[in-house]
Amino acid sequence: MPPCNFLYLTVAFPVCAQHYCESVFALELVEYQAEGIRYEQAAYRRKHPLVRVIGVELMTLLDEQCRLPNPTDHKLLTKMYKKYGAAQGGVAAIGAHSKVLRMEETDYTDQLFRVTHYAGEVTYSVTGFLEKHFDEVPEAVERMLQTSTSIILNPTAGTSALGIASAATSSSAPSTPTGAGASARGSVGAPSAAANAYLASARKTPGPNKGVPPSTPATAVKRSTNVNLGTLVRAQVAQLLDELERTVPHFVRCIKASDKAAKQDPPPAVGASTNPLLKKRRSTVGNNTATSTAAAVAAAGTHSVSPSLSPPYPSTDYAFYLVQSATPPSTLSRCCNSCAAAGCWRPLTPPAPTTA
Amino acid sequence: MFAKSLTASQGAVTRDATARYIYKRLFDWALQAANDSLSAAATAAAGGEAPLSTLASCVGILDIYGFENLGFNSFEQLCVNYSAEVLHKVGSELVIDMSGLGASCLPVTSCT
Repeated sequence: MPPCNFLYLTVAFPVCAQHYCESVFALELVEYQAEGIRYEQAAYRRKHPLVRVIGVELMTLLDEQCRLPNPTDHKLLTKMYKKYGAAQGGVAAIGAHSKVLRMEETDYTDQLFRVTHYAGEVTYSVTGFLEKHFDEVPEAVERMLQTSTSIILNPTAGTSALGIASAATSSSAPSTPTGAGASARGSVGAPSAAANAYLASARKTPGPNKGVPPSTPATAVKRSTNVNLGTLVRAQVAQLLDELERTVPHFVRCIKASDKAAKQDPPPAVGASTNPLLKKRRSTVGNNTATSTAAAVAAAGTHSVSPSLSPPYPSTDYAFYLVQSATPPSTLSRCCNSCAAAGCWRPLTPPAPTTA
Repeated sequence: MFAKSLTASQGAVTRDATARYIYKRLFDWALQAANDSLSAAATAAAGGEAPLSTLASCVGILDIYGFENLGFNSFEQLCVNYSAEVLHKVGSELVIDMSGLGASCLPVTSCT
């Protein structure tokens, strides 16, 4: 497959930006020490158990419930509590899982469970989970829609569970529509092999007592497809990752208008900072909220402000940007012998952490 | 064609499922239309420059949902946050690999 360049345009959340920021923390240490800011070394978590806990374990639980006769949200809740409830001594309530998904004693009555995402802990309500996961579309309704003359509702190519493969977003949350990703590379109609394999394994003939959430009409039980919504989400995510793996990512600099709409002091000129490569506005460091809109930057050579900006400088807030060049600057060198890659630019002797 | 009477809740569920289905079809159609209009083949057909080869480079724009934490979080939010988490994992691993930081050179992740 040819290399493709995907622009990570993060609007609501700086996915790459957050950890890109982390990667330049080493360079930040120089500034921290110069300014007398206390810091401590911490290990970077490479493992992401949450992806497995939600994507595999939780979805499996949902699938199991849907296949049982008379599934209810309460039964799902009970099963989850047995597994993740600390008070119950759940199997998964210890170790890494407890940091990812947990249920407290009161959560059982409130029908909640808590998941610790990278951005924070979110409390989910189990109510309606099975119905949404099952994603029942009454067959009668589907038949009716297929008689429609509208090309939107009744495409000539026919319907499939995956629909039109999207390289951009998963269509699992109709309540939060976002901009559609447009690919300049022709139509992305065929699902990738990864997604197909995933769906193929997920398609199972329903058992004799095909699970139906009690809230759905008893008349419209038979589904036209066997793929649950959760499975569909996972398949589309797998397809997206498959496409991303074939790309070479680059980063884009975004200059965000200042929220205060106030003129800011011009950034220091090149050479004024101890780190000529990295200039950053401290106001947006570690800003994990959804207000941050900028991504990291790759640019050749060293620079400070874009030459097109002249005093009075526009009201700007640089989230952060990084200059990445082929040869490391003379002020920095590889931090240790094990980092033979050219990209590891750190002071040769990392500053010692300052503790109280 | 026959009519079947449902309870109010059953009717609501059917209505919601139908609405979601229609929305899904509309979304897929709009996406396909956008892809078709931007495709190189369409450009060539319209009289523009034909692609040099079928293996031309492409530029894609990935817009993610981000992270949702509403007052009441249900299955939609779980799916959205799961997708965001996966992309976050991919992005972070990518950046760490690109930066050349080995396992022994762990960046600072917290500061006081």
